[in-house]
Amino acid sequence: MYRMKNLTLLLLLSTFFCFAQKQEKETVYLLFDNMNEDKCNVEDGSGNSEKLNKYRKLNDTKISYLIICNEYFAYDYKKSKVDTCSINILANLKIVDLAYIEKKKSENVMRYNPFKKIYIIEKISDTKVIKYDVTWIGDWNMIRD
Amino acid sequence: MRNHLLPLFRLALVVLLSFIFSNCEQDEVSSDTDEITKQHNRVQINTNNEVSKSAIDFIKTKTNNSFAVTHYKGKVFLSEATSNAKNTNLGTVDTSKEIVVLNETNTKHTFKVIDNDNDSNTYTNLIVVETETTTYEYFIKYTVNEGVTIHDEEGNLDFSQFRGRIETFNSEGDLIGDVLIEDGSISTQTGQFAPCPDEPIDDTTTPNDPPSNDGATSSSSNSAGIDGSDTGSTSSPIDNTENGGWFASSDSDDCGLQWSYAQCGCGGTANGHAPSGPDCCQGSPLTITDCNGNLVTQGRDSNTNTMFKRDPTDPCDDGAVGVILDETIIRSILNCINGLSLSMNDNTTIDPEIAQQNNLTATDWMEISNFLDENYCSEDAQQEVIDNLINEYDDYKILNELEGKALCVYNKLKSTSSGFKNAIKKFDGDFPVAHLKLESTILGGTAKGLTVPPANCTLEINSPDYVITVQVNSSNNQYGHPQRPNLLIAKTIIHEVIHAEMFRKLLSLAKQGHLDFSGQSAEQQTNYMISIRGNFPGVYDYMRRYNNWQHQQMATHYRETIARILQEFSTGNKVPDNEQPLQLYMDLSWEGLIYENGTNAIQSWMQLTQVERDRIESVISNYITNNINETCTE
Repeated sequence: MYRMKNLTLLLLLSTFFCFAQKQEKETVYLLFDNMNEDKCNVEDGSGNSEKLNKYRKLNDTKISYLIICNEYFAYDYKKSKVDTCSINILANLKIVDLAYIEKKKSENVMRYNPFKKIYIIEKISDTKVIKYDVTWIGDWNMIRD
Repeated sequence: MRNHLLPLFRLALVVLLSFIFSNCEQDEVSSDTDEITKQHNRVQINTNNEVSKSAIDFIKTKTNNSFAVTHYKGKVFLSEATSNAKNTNLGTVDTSKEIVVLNETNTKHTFKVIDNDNDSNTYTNLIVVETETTTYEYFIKYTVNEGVTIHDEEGNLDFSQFRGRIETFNSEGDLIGDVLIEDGSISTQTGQFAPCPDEPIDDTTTPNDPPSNDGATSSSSNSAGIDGSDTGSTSSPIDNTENGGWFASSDSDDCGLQWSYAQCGCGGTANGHAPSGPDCCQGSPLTITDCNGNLVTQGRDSNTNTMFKRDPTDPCDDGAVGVILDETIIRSILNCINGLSLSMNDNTTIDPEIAQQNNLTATDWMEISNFLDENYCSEDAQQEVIDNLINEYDDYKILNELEGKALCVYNKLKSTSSGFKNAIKKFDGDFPVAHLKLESTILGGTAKGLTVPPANCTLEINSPDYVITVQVNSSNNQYGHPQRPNLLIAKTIIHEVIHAEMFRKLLSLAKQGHLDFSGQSAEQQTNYMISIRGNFPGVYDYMRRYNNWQHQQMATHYRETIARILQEFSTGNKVPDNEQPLQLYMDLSWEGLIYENGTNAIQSWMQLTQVERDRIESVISNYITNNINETCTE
């Protein structure tokens, strides 16, 4: 029995250390398509749900959010870096989707944002995009109710 | 008998008291301190930057900078971290203050161990001993049976009425001494009070050695006394430890008594023959000489006077040691309010952290203590003290920037019979959120509230280190407090404060003032999770299993607590512990916890039948409709 306990502990620790392998953090880019008409089911926590645009914006007093379905990406319009760029930059960027970043986060031992940087790219014309340096809102940095 | 221990404790007592007040109003006890300084100028009380670097460096080295103290299988020892799941993290060494006692052959630094167990009757001190050749550490654990008595006239602690237990652990963590004290006198004791740094390895295999007293020394034998102790005095051995008790009682204590183990030859009988053979320790005769080299005593083979290595008055216990039973007056007050109560109707309690984090002066605490004494610790007196402490606490620690109806509701929450914060500690007995900022803010969307821990990000909304911010939506719409019913504003505040408490737990293990782990390696993150698993297994479980883990845990474990506070807020009457809150309040407690989609779905909500879910949603909706734009008056 004692050996069994030791083995169990060893396995648990091994699980941890599998996650603990050294990895380079990556910078990823998410597309924000304001014109997209896809809908997401959004709940308010009080029993009400609505079909809202998948891509939408929201402003609090101090910060703004770019929302993709139920994921909030915050930027501070006073402090956050917001660049206007040529659409040609897209060719050189690692564009990912929500599923990718959520999967990566779920693989982190803390379910902590594993990315070095997350940028959101919003297309504002046929030739221009805006690049937002955003903070991914999650259980470690903000709870909205 | 009662006073036998008193002189020995004098140094400890004085040091303790001067320390207690040193952070508050030193002027109040300057006469005491001056007297101490005259009598014991070898005692230093250092705080903050004054604390000895050498001692701190020693602790750092021993703990790999963690300052952790671990409890494992009865051992207490410094450890690098609580990486072993079998170990229990006893606490952390508080290096913000120390008592230094300069003995003749060493310097002893006493630090308090900040216990995690919140046992108000147990205090653990780490002693770092520096000699010319080495540095080592040991622990002394004080368990007070019935609180610490405050002297009626001096307003100080009365150690002559000390009732409790004093245990000593060596640097390996082994219990090497255990003393029970009643009214200032030793009732039973085993072992020794301090380790001997150069203690030879006992030759326990020697068949003819005298019996070892390891762990079995009684209070009536084996005294290493000074005058005439070779007669086998049966008095308390503590009574005559002029050369090496824990607490030297005068400047002449270190006069230079010398000791050695005679050369009896291991295996030989300690029968007083001429010394021969190798020096021994355990079981060998102990020779004590005075300042002039005259023989004071030498043990013989009689059990009544042979000096054993593990005798409590062993000269290895070389000099006095300071004691830090920090905030003892506060603890005495807490003992009156929180426990050790003989009354079956004691409903008044307050969280120790609320008391300890007030910015009150020593005079304030003495007044409170005297007030409780004068009123025989009555329930009314306790309640009055609680109310005052909570108000002080708010002023000092809670940055309350709520406005309008949210402020009114918050104040009403506080003024409920048992008090909001006093009730909220019931979440897990580990309240409060030490640095809580409350504010009213316009929030977009459907949010009624928001909780922001310090996350070191660049957002303006980010909380400063060690501050957790709760925002209550002040929008003039159905989600903002101006229109929402009072009861649901109260619910939102409670709900957000629970989030804050969850963040506080995480922060308490983060070893930094914020929850930004982006710069940490995977290994560091793993170690952090291990510490969460060890300290807050429930939190760990939810973190590992769920997205949206805070709401998952709150829905499963905290709704009844929310409902109890809501019912008390609404009716003014506390819900008896053996009764459930009314269904209305249980239903309303679900607000903010109802998520059904995807990975955010709340499991305990989804386990309800659809009929039940529909009913609860209807209750919440109807309550909002029927109480919209409700006014709040204090």
